[in-house]
Amino acid sequence: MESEQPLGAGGRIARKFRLANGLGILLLRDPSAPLIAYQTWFGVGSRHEREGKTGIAHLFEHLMFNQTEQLAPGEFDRRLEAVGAETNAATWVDWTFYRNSLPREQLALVAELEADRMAHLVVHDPQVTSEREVVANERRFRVEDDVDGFLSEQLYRLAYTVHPYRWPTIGWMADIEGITTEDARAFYHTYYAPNNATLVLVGDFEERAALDLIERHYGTLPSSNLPAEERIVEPPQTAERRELFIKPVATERLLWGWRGPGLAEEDHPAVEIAVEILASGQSSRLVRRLVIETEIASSLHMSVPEFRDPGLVELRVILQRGHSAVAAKALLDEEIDRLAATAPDEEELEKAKCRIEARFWHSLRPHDGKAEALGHYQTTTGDYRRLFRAAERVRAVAPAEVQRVVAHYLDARRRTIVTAAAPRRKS
Amino acid sequence: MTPNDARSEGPAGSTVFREENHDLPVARLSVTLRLGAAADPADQMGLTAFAAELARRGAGGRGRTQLDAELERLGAELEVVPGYDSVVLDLEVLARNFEPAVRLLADVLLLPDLDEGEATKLQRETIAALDELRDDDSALAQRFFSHQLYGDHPYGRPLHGTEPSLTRLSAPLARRTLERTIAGGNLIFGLAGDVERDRFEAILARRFGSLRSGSTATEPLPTLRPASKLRLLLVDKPERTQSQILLGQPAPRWADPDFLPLQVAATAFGGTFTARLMTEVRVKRGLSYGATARLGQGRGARALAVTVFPSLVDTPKTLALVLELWRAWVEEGLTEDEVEFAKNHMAGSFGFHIATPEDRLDLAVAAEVCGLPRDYRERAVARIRAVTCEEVRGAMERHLRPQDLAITVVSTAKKLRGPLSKVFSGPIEVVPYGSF
Repeated sequence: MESEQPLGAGGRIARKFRLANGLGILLLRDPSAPLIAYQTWFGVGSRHEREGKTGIAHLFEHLMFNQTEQLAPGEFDRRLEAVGAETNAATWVDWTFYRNSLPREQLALVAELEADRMAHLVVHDPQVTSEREVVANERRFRVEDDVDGFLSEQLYRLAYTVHPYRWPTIGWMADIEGITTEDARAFYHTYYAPNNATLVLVGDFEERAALDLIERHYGTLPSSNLPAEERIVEPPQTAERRELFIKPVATERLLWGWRGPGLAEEDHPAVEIAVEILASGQSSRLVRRLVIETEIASSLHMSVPEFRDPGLVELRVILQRGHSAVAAKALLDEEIDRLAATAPDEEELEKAKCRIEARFWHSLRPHDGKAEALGHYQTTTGDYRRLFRAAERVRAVAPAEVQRVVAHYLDARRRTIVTAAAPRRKS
Repeated sequence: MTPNDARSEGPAGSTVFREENHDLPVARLSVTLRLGAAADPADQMGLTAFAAELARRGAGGRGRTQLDAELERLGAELEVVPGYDSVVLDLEVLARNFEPAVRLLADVLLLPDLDEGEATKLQRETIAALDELRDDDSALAQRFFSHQLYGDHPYGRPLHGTEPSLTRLSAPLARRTLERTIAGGNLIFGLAGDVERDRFEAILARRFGSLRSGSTATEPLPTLRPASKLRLLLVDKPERTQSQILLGQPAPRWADPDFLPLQVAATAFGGTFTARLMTEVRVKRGLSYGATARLGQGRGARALAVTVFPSLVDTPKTLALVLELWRAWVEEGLTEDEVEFAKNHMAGSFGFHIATPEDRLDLAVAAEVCGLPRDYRERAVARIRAVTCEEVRGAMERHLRPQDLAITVVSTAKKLRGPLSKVFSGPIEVVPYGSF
């Protein structure tokens, strides 16, 4: 065992192990339901791609459900669905993970199938051709015909100049269409190996038996020589960047982004609190001002990036009919500047902390939620225990820290703005 | 805990469900009104959701801003969740702040301000939310599909109403609605999480002691008349590269004996990644990222619907394929292996519906609202396993009508109408996407 960490007051403990081939294992026994969340987190995401081959991490995730040396196409899903298990996957900038939710008695089956596809996947032309089409359709769904997805993609393209966060995880359409079977095979042999993966199990199992099972199925898989990752540092942004897009939208939509701290950075909890004070909940400053009092906006959301390197603090505003981005910008600037100039009082700070704490515990309610939080922190920051330290650090943030991070990160000169507006009608 | 332990009687003859759990320091209290949008008068669509949301915007002498601030200081979220068969006031809170948060919820339920100014504001905000929905093609397709499928039936009315119906709603109307419906017999209280039984019961008695008893008779839902024709509604939206297609028909209600066999049939057709639909549409042809069939659960007859979203160019081909798959499913039936596979999947995955205290509470409340047996949860897996091929076949024969399918396509009409008419011989009606 490498480490352990208690979870809440219920006596549950997460424990970390590692096999000789480098496979990380995180176990959290929770018999509150006769189920197990079984997830495999690989330390590869769209940040590991290169220009011209964007989207390969995500397209490859699709191929992982296909064929292995032992299993015919579709058998992986079929065997799991036959016993009631649910399986899916997700790719993001820093990672790719595969999730299985299963009845507890099916643990051995899932371990066998997951270990098999980690080392023995078969990739042929027809599968790559078909999945390229599926992913192109997914891209139409999420980006081309979805104005929010489109704006998000444009925001990152504009905000980054050298860092791989500048391209979308789903990939540019032209790149998706150009991915070959050879590309997919090379990607698999480079990144899919036990020393680039962490298994996360949460649920109703016996720890010793689970470890024995994992050792049996994964212990002989060879590790790989992972390429050294080039550390790319995005140069500081010194002036606002903006772009307007004409789209068939009912009302104008704005998306702002400022480069924030990485997930493991000391400032992350203070930025989380700042965003909470500004835009989370009906009584937050921006929602009250733009949505409730002036009714300039119909909705407003703000989020903090949970990336390894600095991602974008995002502010998304949907305007009401007859209101323009210009009017919204003045109010947004005013409220953000106010928090940069004056620290919040203790009551407002405590409210933000309370809300963050409640959301933290609610997100950990299902087995899948616990597994996802553990896997995300382990893969993104290198240590799952930061998840719990982050919650403690939120409690310790002082009012002046909130003021400081707003002044530092939410500076208008470091801002990128993309806007979608309907075409002007002829009078 | 047995079902009878978890269900009890609460203040003024209300029903109470408890799913106590102390793993994490959070709790949830849901208060479900057994009347939903289906009970709205035809000319006052959106009334129930409007009244509940207006109550949430000021109560017990606190205006909207003060109420929001007090809730959020407690780490609480109080949401109004409207539905056709019920409306839920859903409170999530840190367990240590449970009672003060429940006090605020009780004021919303029993002492709402129902301010005129807030009512006007709510109308504007609801219209703005409708504008937002029009930028979301999936939600837009669902809105038009329900209307196309159900017509004037209450399930065809949008939960939040339409622009014209919203102008007819007001604070006095909301007050009359709430005064008529907020009574013990119409309410279900549900607790999930870190609150002990004695404490919970004492809080309920203290905070909801003034609740009046009685109940409003639940009107039976009108019978839906089959349309007896295949029809396609093309919702015209510019610059689409893809089409959102919803295709389906009304299904039996959840409490109907044919529901479960038909659910097995729908699962075999399009309920899993390896089912017919996904295999033929996505895996073999790459035509759509998703291809699913779902059977809705409700007090009345909800929809059995297929969802696919192909590229605009592939839309006619995909629609023709799905119609052919539907025809073959209905006319040729399912194999024994397909039925067995679907049953095993449903039985094995049932645990996910009751994985957390919140899941168990939601299922218990939904079953109560929709008139399912009290031991529904305990017997669900055994009932799934007992379904026979004959029952599946019988349910399909009694309920599936390929000649009565409603098809809604959200896409760009000038590019698609001609190609669609080559694969679809029935009537095609084109409407602008902002028209409903």
